[in-house]
Amino acid sequence: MEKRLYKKDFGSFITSLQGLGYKTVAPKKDNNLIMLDEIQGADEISLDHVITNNSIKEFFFPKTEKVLSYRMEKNKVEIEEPEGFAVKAVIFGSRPCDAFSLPVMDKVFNWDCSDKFWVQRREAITIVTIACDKCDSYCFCTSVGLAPDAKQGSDVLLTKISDDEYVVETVTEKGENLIKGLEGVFSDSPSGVPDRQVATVEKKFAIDKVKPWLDENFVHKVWTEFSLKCIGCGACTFVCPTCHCFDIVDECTMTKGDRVKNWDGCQFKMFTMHTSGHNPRSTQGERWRQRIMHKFKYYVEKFDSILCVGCGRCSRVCPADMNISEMLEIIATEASQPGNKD
Amino acid sequence: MSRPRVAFFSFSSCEGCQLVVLTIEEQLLELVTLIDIVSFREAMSEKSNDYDIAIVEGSITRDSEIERIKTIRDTAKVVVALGACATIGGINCLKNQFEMKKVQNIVYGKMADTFDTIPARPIESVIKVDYWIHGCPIDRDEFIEVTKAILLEKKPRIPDYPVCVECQMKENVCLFEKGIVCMGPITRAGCKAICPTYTDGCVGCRGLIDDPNLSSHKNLLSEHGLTVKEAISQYMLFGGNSKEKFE
Repeated sequence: MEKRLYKKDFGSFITSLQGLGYKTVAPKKDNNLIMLDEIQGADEISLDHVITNNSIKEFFFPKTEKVLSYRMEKNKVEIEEPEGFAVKAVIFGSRPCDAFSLPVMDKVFNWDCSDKFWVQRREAITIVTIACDKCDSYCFCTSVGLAPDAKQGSDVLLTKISDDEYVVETVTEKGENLIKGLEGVFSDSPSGVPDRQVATVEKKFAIDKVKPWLDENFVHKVWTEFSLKCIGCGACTFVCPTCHCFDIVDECTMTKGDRVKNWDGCQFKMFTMHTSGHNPRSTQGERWRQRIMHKFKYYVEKFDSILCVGCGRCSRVCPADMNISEMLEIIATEASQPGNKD
Repeated sequence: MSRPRVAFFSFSSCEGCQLVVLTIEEQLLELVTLIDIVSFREAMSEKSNDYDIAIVEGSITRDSEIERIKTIRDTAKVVVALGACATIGGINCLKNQFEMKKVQNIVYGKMADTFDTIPARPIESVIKVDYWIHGCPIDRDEFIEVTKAILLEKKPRIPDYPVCVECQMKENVCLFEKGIVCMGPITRAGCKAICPTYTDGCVGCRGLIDDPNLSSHKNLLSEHGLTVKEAISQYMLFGGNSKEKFE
């Protein structure tokens, strides 16, 4: 049966979760930012924003983490693997776009090898999403096949129906078990159809035009033209919920060290630099093309998913004001004008 | 290199980067079990002309320094440039904007003729440099990274991306949004964005990245009501030796 969650019950929701041993994460004010972060109590939760500045990915795939430690002695190597990295947690108040990024990323983290860090955290963390009741000009989820109240990736979806009331929908068994374990926090629904407050996100481009154009236009002036502004800071890749490139380095001395996995980004020159000094992507235009191609062509071919959820964070954060949905609008427009190549 | 002999040298500088080395404390103790420090005037009285690794702080600002740095190069197997003065010329290059005669008169007054001076320059413009530890002052972790790399005969990981990357990692709000001139978009990272983190615009003490997007940086400045002139004057604090890149 459909349930309700009242804002006044957020407090008991959070304390009940903590009582059950969950770490609680929610959007929280941090100076001028709204960050998904660990909270101690419901009074820290902030819900007035369109979207958090950080994406959900860092709770599954942190900026930096140790994958093993080693120690060498004469002919012997001792290896120690980290433990306890998957902490039981509930992420409350994430957005549907962020939640959807998780099943999209499951595909790559379970592909040629299963990334235990990702997989175990996916099992340990339950996602309680709140549908978007507002959006801004950077949002374009509807253009990539999502919606401000999309359910994929969430375990529970809350939709606002008044300033202090949310409709509760369980999406997965995990979500259902979570709700069942929280007696007294949720209320039964009164009769009648609630008036759901869901944002209207404008559709900016025809996504079905994008891939066929990319198939044909690996070489095109638009790549250079659009990326002239890029300063190569990689901010877009860090805030992106679906960018997942990383670098593995040994932080070591002669005899011992940690093998560490760090976020990396395709917008950096060093990302593809060979030991020989040759760089197959030596210009920013080539790096920008890679970002678009990976998201809208290669990933689609390999995993049958677009590697973009339309959250718009990359465009909000870009210091040089590069906007990915503008790029895709250009592509969709180019695609409608055949023969207009270079 | 088995247990190399290491010597520190001071050229025109405040020796602050060598003081930073002394603050690395516990790691320094581990480091001295792997190397012999044979000259280090900030830390000891002994001196030696027999060394494998020369760590050089300071820029070249006098003719006599040219001869001295060449001798160091001839003796050492490895030369490390330590700090902004040595790596990019640094703050000493401020004087390059003036006539040398004028600078001499301002600084030495009546004694001006006693002291020669030439436009300041990084040591790289006189000798071949093997490793660079950037910054004013240097970053401790980077000092350890480079010395470890030398000992392990590996290439050190020195960033060739802008300071913006580290600002993003720290989740800082962009200073341009606050109307502050920042050289971060074109400056080599590695400082952990310390100045922007404390809301001071980057002044570029670590020098430019290898292929900075100067035109985009100019646009960014003007979009936020700032001028290239302001940016250049900020950059000149450390980057006087590479002014032509802005023209």
